[in-house]
Amino acid sequence: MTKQVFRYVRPDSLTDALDALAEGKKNVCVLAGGQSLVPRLTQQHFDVSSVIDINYLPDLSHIEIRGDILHVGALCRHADLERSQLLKDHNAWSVISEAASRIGMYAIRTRGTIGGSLAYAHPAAELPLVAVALGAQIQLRSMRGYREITSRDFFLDGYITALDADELITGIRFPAPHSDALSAFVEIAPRQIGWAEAAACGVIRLEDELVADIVLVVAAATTRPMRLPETEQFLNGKALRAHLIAEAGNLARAEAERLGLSDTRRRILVRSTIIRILEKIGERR
Amino acid sequence: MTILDKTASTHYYNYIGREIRQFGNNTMTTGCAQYIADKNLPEQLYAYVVRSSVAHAHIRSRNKLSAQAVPGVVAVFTAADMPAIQFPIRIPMADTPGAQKALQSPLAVDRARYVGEPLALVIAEDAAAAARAGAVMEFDLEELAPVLDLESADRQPAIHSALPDNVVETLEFRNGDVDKLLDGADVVIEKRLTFPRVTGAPMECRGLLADWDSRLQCLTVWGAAKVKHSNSEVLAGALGLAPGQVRLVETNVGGGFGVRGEFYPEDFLIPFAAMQLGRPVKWTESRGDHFLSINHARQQTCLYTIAATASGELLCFRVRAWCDQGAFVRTQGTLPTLLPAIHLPGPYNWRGFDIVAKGVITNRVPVGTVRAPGVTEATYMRETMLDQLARRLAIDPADLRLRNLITPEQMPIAIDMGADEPIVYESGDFVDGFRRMLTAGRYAKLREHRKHRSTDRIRFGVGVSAFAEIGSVGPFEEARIEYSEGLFHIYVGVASVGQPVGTTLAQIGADQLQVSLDSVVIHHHDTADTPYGFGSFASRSTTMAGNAISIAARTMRAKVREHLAIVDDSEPDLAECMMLVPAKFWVAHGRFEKEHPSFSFGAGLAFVLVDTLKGQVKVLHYTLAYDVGRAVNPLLLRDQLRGAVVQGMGAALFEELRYDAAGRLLTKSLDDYLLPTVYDAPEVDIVILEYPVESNPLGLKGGGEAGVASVPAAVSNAVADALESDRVAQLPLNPVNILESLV
Repeated sequence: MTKQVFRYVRPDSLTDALDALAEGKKNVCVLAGGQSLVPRLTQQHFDVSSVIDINYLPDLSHIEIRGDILHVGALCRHADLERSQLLKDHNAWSVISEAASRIGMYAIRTRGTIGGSLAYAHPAAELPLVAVALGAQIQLRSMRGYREITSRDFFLDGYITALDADELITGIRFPAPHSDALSAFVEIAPRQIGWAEAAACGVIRLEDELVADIVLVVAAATTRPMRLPETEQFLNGKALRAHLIAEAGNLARAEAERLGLSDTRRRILVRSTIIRILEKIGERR
Repeated sequence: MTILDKTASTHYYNYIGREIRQFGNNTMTTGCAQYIADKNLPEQLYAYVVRSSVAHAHIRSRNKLSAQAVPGVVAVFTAADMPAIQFPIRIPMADTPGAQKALQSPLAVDRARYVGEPLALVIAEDAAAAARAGAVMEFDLEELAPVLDLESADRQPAIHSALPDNVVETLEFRNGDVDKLLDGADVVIEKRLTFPRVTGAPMECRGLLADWDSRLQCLTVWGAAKVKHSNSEVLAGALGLAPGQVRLVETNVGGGFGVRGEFYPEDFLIPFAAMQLGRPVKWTESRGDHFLSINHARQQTCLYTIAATASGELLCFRVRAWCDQGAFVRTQGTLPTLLPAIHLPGPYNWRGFDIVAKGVITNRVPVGTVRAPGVTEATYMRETMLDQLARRLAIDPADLRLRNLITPEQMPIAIDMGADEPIVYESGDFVDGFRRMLTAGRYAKLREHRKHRSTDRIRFGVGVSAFAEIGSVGPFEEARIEYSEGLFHIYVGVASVGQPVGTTLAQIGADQLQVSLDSVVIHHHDTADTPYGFGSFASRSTTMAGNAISIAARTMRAKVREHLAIVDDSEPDLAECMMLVPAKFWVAHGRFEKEHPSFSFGAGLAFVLVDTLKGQVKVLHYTLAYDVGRAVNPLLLRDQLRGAVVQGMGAALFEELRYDAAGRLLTKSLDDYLLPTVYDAPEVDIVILEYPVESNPLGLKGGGEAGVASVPAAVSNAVADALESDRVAQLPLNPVNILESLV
């Protein structure tokens, strides 16, 4: 480990944090859980002039349903999501809890935050995938004001987001899915823990056994979470029968190629994740 | 064959065979270990090694000026600033004329031959300045096409001009008339098999701290491991010093696995800079640099032909192998080519074999040994073919092996390799050992389980493998015992790369001296006070140093007893006798010489689950039986074998050093080079087999490495069993390789 010299800022209020961000200009890092940032700092992967520690900001750790919208604070730890009975009991949002339980190992989950995961935008990260599948709105604040951006426009590429340098993610809003919607989450990784090589998340509503609403998103094999509109379209109005599931898997593999996934071996994994998603939804129905 | 009766002893202090938790100050688990990164000296400078970012290039020119201009930089060295030396091969039997033409120099001279090759050395007042200066160092490189393919390397442009065909060694081992045996065989199967490139990946990366004392004209280097004495000789020679002027010191070492402690370019560069500049120089490598500089291992491809009768009697095999030696032949010479070849016959009866193995130079990081070298790859190749055969003949894979294992009646057995010396298996009951492994692992039950619990999607598989591994390699070790104020200090020339030699050797020392364990202290850290030794590799430390200690201890005890005229069978505590004898009895020496290595038998049984949709493999249970001759400390031995099984599973399922088509290493972090975690570790049962040998007084065989050897073979066989497939999925058995084998 080599030393890095940087300014450490620990604001107690959101205004102070945003102020520090606005002031910092270049090479400013936000320290949330630190599970990706700190290893990168110690390995000197990049130059940093100041680190803004947001762990002492109040009121950013909630998981609550207001109206019919799920609000999650940016500082909510993965372990909180994993353990949340509120999430586990919900038809569609339970997938957030399931995805959180797949992040790293327990020590990482007690520190890592949802805001940090979304801002870092690792291609294989679990929460960006789930956020896109559930159509989450990401809440951003800066000294310039407040804006919301849909997760589907937020992730531009691996590690690249629509977050401006002076902006902080403060929370994530998950709109209410249809009360009958079901969700599933699947990862394929060589090891029991560690980054997935392919992952998928699906949110599906069945009406009389037929697919009425469907969102299928893949990640990890791709550089960012990507919807599979053609595969979704194919399944729309159909029942989740074995031969259709297999066909959807093949279609997803072909669609992944059209979306730019050039690695043929990774495309086989995409097929497997989509088949497993559809099977899991079928099993839960 | 007798199993040692450990209860039949007249000794008071009966420590050999006892399960003792690490005794003394177990620094590794109490947070007080001092690793090389923790060792610092006042006024020390920091080194940074500038490495090649291209796999193959002519070096047209280099420019130091911009690096020298960086604030804090003290010196910049290139090949022109140092003596023209090459690092010698440490192992005589792996030193060939071809290998001599591909030795490595401290810094590249006129050609860069792998990504990671040291090109320049920067010394600065702090580590960051050294790294900054290294980043601005300028080289004018004319890129050349890299040689990466093993089988065609001999027809590609030469990487070393003195070696036109890129082949450093062609080994031939022959026994019997293989052509005739193949003609008369009922079944002949041929397959192309490859083993991926892996490395040891110790938890602690390398580091060195060198200090030249100009007053005493003496060089001290901290950060040594594995083979201190040999390295101090090499270093003294390279620096033009007498051996006595160089002192190498082992700090705590966070894992060796064969890779750590060999003599690398940095082992010359850092002391050289310290001498040149008259100040201590410190160097520690990042994980990324570690992957580009530490020895890689195991990469090879072979064409394997196996032949048998219809009833499952093995006839012969033919192997044409290409072993990657990397861009240079390093200190271990052609062992990466030799060790797989000599392990190919294994524990079975063959009527003949025909092995041709080529050691090939490529534009990749040089290759050395990693824990259980050669035997792991050879076992994978052979045992994969045995399962192919079993499937073809519809014979149970365990039965096929039992039918062909060398029997106890054949022991000791010499296997004619067609070369100067045969391979000798001195002792053991391979059949009994294999059966005990099957019983302990509940083989029959697992087969039932596999049959009834497997579904189309989730499949269970059972796989076995067997091997005979070289270990307890000589030529000698020495021990010196010094009694002082109630303590027996024992000095040995082996090393600890993290394994508890301090405990096992103390057990042997206390047992043989007849004193209590806490009155014995093992010293192995410093070449200044230890006798010359060959270090810790080839599962030799306990056998070699243990017997040297035994000889020294028995000598000391006999002389003291003689002086005190103790003639009856009473065994007084030697510690109580020491104050009664003159000081000349307070020192004793022992030297144990061993001409030939000892081979040990082992066998593994893997029970796996394969998800055929996701391509994921989980090893649920592993049983390993291994013959150590005699277990000095069964508790520590089982732990060591268990760790080795998990390491072997890493090679089977996760680990692979991948290169792109330009010869750039793609796996330079632990995010990409996947090591097994505790979550992946299966339940492991260890069956310790004890068939002592007579070639050393304590009856020991090696124990440190062999736990790895059976695992890739048994796991791969279990996966093939689960998939009921003749196709062998490429190692590592990760989701993409599994799913690809199913397409």
